[in-house]
Amino acid sequence: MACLLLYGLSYIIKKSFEKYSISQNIIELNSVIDSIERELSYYDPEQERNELIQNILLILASHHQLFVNIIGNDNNILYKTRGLNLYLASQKLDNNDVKTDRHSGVVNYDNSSYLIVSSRIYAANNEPFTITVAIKQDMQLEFIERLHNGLLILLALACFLILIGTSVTIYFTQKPINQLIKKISLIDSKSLKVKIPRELVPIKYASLVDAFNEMISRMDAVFQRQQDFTADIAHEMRTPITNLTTQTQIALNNARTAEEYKEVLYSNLEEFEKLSQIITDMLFLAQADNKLLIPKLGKIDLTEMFNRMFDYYEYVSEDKRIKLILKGTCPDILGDKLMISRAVSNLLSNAIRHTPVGETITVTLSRLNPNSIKIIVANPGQPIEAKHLPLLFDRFYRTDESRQRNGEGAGIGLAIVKSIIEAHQGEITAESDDNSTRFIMIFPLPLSKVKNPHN
Amino acid sequence: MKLLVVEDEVKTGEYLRQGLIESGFIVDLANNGLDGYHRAMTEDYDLIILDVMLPDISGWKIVQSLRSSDKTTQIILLTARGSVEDKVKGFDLGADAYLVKPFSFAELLARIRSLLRRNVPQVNLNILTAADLTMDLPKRMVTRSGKRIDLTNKEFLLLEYFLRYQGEVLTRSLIASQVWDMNFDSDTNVIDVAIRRLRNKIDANFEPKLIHTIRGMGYKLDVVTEEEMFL
Repeated sequence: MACLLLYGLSYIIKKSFEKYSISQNIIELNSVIDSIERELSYYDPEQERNELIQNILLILASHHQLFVNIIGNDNNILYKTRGLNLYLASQKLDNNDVKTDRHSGVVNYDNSSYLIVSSRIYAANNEPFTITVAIKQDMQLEFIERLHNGLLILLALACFLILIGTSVTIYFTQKPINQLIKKISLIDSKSLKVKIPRELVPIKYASLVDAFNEMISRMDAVFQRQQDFTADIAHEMRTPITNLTTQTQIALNNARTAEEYKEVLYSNLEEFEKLSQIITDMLFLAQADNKLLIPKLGKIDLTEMFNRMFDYYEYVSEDKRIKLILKGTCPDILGDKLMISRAVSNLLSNAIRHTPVGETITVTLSRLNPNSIKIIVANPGQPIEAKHLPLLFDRFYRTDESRQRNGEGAGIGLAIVKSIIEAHQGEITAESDDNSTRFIMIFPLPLSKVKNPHN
Repeated sequence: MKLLVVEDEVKTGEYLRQGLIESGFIVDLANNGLDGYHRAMTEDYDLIILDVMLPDISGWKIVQSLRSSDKTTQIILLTARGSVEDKVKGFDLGADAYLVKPFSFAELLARIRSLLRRNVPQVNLNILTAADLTMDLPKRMVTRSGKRIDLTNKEFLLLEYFLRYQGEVLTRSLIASQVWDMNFDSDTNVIDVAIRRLRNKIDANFEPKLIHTIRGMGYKLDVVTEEEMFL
């Protein structure tokens, strides 16, 4: 592109010089013609031919390489410089009919280029004369040609330098990008933790590297969740499937009574129930992990909901002589009734499971501030070590002190609670001391903008 | 009662047919959507059990077409997809019930029976009985062998539910939903505790036992002994 522009520039320069040189020559030739015309206007052919020729010679003396041809009536040559046959040369001129106007043109004659101007005037005796003046342009044209050639050499040099410069620039600009590409091409599922160092690229690309690193981190998190999920589900399913396989194989090893077969089938049925429950729960959590839990919002009266839950858990709590108490009130929240019921149910059943016989579980509703409400589910019992508290909501998190051990669907209840609360843009934390263990939920008011992955 | 099962999974279809025939229904089985739709349009069924994911026409489409042809046959959709949107879609298109795979056969049977009961004008009985147990609904009184039994409100509702569905296996989730209005996966251990209490009151000191545990499925109230149940 640059080379083309430079070539265009050299062409324009050449043409400008040619134009300028022609216009200068025309000015010179016109001034010569003017002088000759002046001489001719006083010219009397009878007396002054010699004087005229003297004067013309004087006019021509200050001009270089000028040729003149003055023709009178009947093609009678009044004056003609040596050398160029101007008559023949001017024949090549595209003469107009109107001979009174000066007209000019470039003529190539005898391997040389001439600029010719011719004019027709009337002498003092009304005799018409055709004055043709020519100037040899060879030297000027040669100069212009040399200049043009010089420009072309310069141009070639410039193009070469541009090419070299551009290649070098591209190489050095591309080098960090190439290194980046090399690094990126090495990233696979096993190396998602690898970060691309910012030092690898110039400062202007640092934000690109940051953005890329952040994207990799996000992908790593998703990938990690998927892996954890797969590992969890495989681990959870292994036990029931092992039981199913073993029991069935053993049953088939020998002939059994109908009663024994029935026992195997019942036992299998129980394992299948477990599997089914695991799949349902894990899918729910997978949806939550991938932000696909979309609550169907409606008004929820938490007082009514907790009373209904107390009602449901009445027998179980009575069995352990545990009291369920609801304190305080709070405004209605917007949420998905089924989901919130499930979360509340999980929390209560978890609390009942870990409360010593004869104690009291207290649920406290309150308004935290104009924009949010707080629910505390508190139960006395064995305190949970601080290090376990944040991990209580992890899937299948199990320690001896963990509150998530029960015979069925162990280790997933609190994870589901957390998913539901977060899908409602709320938050849940756990506290524990010698007095009680408390699950504290905060819901924004109103819950108008629940996270929607489609937004 | 004549049922149509539309299910492309051969094994599932066959087991459903066997189970339903053994439960006293006449069953037709269609292995693809087109055949199922054709039969549903041309024959009279009391109820259709329809898989959503069929290879040719989807179950959604079949429900839609049947309803737009003014076929009012009751439809239970079976699907592996349990999202709320799918359930809502199913009901919007005109399905009467929606079961997520894997479901228990007992649950399917309970749904079928409760839907078919909708077709029969219900005689609102004031007195429900099973063996020597009597429930007087207007008086809210339960007696067995003439002895009055005091029940809590929930125990009363629970027993009423069992008496109305005598002989049917009721799953824990069905009981939780009907008696406590818990329509989600709740801690079903609660149901076991409630049943134990009810048994203590109505079965402990009496024969025959009325409430039976059906392992891996749920409970049922029946006037037969455990041994007779499987003969």
